[in-house]
Formats: sequence, C-alpha cells, structure tokens
Amino acid sequence: MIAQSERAVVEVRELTKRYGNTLACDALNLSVRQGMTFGLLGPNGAGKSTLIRMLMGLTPADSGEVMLFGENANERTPEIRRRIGYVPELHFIYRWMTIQEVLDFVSQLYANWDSDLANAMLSKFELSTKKRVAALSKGMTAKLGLIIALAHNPDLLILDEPTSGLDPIIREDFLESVLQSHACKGRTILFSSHHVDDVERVADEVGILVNGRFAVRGSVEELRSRIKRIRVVLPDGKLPARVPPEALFQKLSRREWTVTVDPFSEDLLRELQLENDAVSADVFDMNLEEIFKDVVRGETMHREETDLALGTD
Amino acid sequence: MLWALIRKDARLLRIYLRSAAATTVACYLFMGVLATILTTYQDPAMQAATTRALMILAGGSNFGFSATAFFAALLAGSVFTLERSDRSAEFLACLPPTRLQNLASKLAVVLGTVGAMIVVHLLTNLVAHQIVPFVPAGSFARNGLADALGLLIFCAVIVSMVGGAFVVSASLNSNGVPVLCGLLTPLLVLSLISLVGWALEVPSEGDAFQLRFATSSMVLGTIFAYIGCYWYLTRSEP
Repeated sequence: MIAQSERAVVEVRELTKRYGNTLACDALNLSVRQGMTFGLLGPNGAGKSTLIRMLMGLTPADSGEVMLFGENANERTPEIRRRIGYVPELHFIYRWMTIQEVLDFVSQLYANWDSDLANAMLSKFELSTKKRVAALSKGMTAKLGLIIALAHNPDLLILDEPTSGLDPIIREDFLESVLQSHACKGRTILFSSHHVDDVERVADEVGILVNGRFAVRGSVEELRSRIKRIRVVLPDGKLPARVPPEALFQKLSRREWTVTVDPFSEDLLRELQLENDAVSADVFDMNLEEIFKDVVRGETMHREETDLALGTD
Repeated sequence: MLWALIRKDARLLRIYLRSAAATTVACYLFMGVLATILTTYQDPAMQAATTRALMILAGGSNFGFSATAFFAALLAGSVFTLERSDRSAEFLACLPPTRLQNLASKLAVVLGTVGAMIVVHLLTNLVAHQIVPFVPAGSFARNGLADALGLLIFCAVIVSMVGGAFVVSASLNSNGVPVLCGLLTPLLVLSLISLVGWALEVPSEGDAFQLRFATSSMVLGTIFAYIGCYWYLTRSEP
C-alpha cells in the first residue's frame, strides 16, 4: 500500500452538468487524496466521462467547483496541466503524425519529460516510432496515450475507461504499467471503468456512479464488509412486510426474497426475520462485481419508479 | 514551446502551405506562358525581353495578390477548425500550452504565410515599376501595373478576408463555411459602403470611393479578427 497524504489532489464540489433534460452529473462531490488510486465505476452513461472531461476542462460545468492540487481549476494554468497525465477512452492524437513526431512534439511542452522512460515504454509496448498514428490499432493508440501521459512524470494520472475495447493481453500490459507507475512514484490516480475487475485490482477506494451521482463509495474492503446480500425465505403466500431503507436492491422470486443492504447489521437481519415471520434468513458476502450489479440495478429500478410517479419518461 | 506549436500548426496546414507556395510560383509561370503567346506575333517592341519581363512581373503579382487573398481566407478559416474537425483540439487542450499560446502560434503561421506571399508579390511589383522606363512598349505594359491605391486595396481585401474567416471559424468545427465567409467579406464591405454612399448621396466611384472601401475593409477585417481571437480565447470547449 502506498502512503497517502490527507491533502486532496482532486476536490469536486457540487459539480453539475446537464445535457438537455439529461442530468449527467448531479451535484457531485469527490475528494481524492494524494497517493490514492480512486476507481470510478459505473455503467455506460452514468456520467463518468462527463465528470472526467469537466476535471480536464474539456466540458464546461453548469455549476460547482473543481479544485486540482488545492487550486481552483477554472484557469487550468500550464503548471497545473504539467502535473496531470490524461488517458482518454477515445484518443485524438494527431493522426497525421508518426509516433516519433508525436513524442517529439509533446516532449517540447514538458520541462520534465523523461525520454528514457518514453523509450523504455516504447520498447516494452513494441511500438515502431515510424508508424503514423492513423495506422495504429486501438490497443497501440492506447499504449501511445499511456506513454504520453506517463513520460512527463505527472503527479496526477487520470484514466477515462482506458482499457475499453482492448484485448485481454493489451489490457494486462496496460494495467501492469499503471500499477508499476503507481508503485514506483506514489502518484495519485483517478481511474474510470466499467470493468469491475480492473478497478478492483487497481483502486484503493471505489465510487459507483449511477445516473450522475455516487450511489456508494468506500474502499473495496469497506464496501465488502458494509454491503451484504440477505436471502429471506418467506412463509407461503406472504409478501415482504416492508423494504428497509438500507436496501440497495431487492428481488422476489416465489418465496425467496433477496435484498442487498448498505449497511448491513445483525439488528437489521433480526428485524427482517421478525417482520416477515421468515422461514429462514441467510447473509451472503458479495464481491465488488456483485455489489456493482446490484447497486446499478437498484438505482435503475428506483429511477424508473420515480419517473413513473412523476409521469415522465 | 511556441516554436513547437508553430511547427505543429505549419504541419497541420501543410497541404495548404504547399499549395500556396506552388500557386505563387505558378502565377509567374502562367504569366510567362501568357506573355510569350501574346507577344510572339507582335512588333519587336512587344517581343523585347524587358516588355515580357514587365508583363510577367506585373501580371504575376496581380494574379499572386488574388491568390494570396484566397489562401488568406483558406488558412484563416482552417487553422482553428482543422483541429476541431478531427477532435485533435481535445488532445491539444490537455497539454500544457495555454489558449493564448496556441492562438499566437496559429496567428504566426497564418499571418506569416500571408505576409510572405504579400512581400513576394509586392517585391515583384516593385521590380516591375523599376523596369518600366526600360520597356519599349511602356504604354501597353504599364496598364497591368498596380498603383499604390491598387496595392492598398489588395492588402485591405486580404485583411477583411482573414478577419471574416477568423470570426466564423472561432466557433465552428469545419472549415467550409469560414472559408466561404472569408471570401465573401469584401463583397459584404463593398455592399455596405455602397449602401451607405447611396443613403448619403455620395458617389460610389472614383479614388475616394476606393479609398473608403480599402479603409472600411481594413477596419472591419481587424475588428472581425479581434472578435474571432477573443471567441477562441474565451470559449469553454477546445
């Protein structure tokens, strides 16, 4: 585990963004401490990329504040940008340049560009510097993007679904490099993905973003100890007495009522047993993928119910 | 850093820059061919080397100024939009250079190229003026020479085209409309001052009118260029 400081490198306060009637980010708050790897999980359209684009100044926020390295990021001075390495999901590196030309161009913009590191990564990723960016595959472009993001030794690395669409071997190489960079330099990483296993492997803390807001947040261990699945077997012909406010997601299948709760407690388990005259009640541990799925399903159901109540689509 | 940006922008516009260089040469080559054809079966004074040289330099620089105006609109309309059309502006926006540094680099490439083209054609025009006394068919050849007012109008038209293209391209993602707007800006200026002249019952001809047109084009082109630069600097998206 890398030592983390209490100083927040990324601080987001009440950040909101709307696209027409769609709320992409709903008054988001986020704090990523120095040395921490924060995994941003969420289904497609949850608002992950919008949040990251707002952090990078590529999309203007409707309201709210972004602080990077303790400074208001609205200006995004060259000093702040020099401290950030960014790997987007879609790369828009100049397609007409060769890899060598891209690296030559970018290296002139960073005073602390590490040519040795760039060359070492080029060799490791087996990228030919004579190739044009337009001729690179998606995986190769992602690797070039990672070299550009890492070779200037940034204090903050922002990765927006960097492994999306990559084959398992390239994905492995990519994550290895990210982990290595984190371990060696102790840099702060904000990692967004919908691959739960990638995030679980890399992140110290995880936030699950659904419909533009954080549904749950915490370290992987904390989430696994806090969120449990309770299976209650109900008596014949009986429905659950009530849905507890702790429920993230529930499913009723014949007599078997499954409810995912956050936070779990023995008291809650006893209450559910008593209220429902349960035949039996069991508690199950969940892995991050199961937590993610239940959180997303629960939020989606909740939203559909709200939309139905409000008479909207 | 600025030098790296200038090199990048020059490469971004490389096709247009190469075309501009080729067109500059082509203007004089074309005039060379034309002068040869036009003077071959004429009297000896017309066939003299100095007459042909004057025709080539004067005609070439006139064609050259027209081509410069076209390339000014093309470059000014493309320098922002080419990076937006392939979204490489997003890549650039995540790198350390500020919007002001990017703007400085783009202006350096566009104005540098247009300035270089103007200088070439001004010089050839100047040489043409210098050899007029040695041309046997001087009265014929002098018709093709641009005078000071003509050169001022050429330059004013170029400024208005650059300004018109800049102001539209600052907020668009493709270069078609900005280039067209740049090309149409002098016509807009001409229409406006004609309209104002008609309203004030001022004659729309003669040197005074041409001077008004040149001044208006310069002023409006500069204002448009300023607004375009301001929009580029202040827009929230790359």
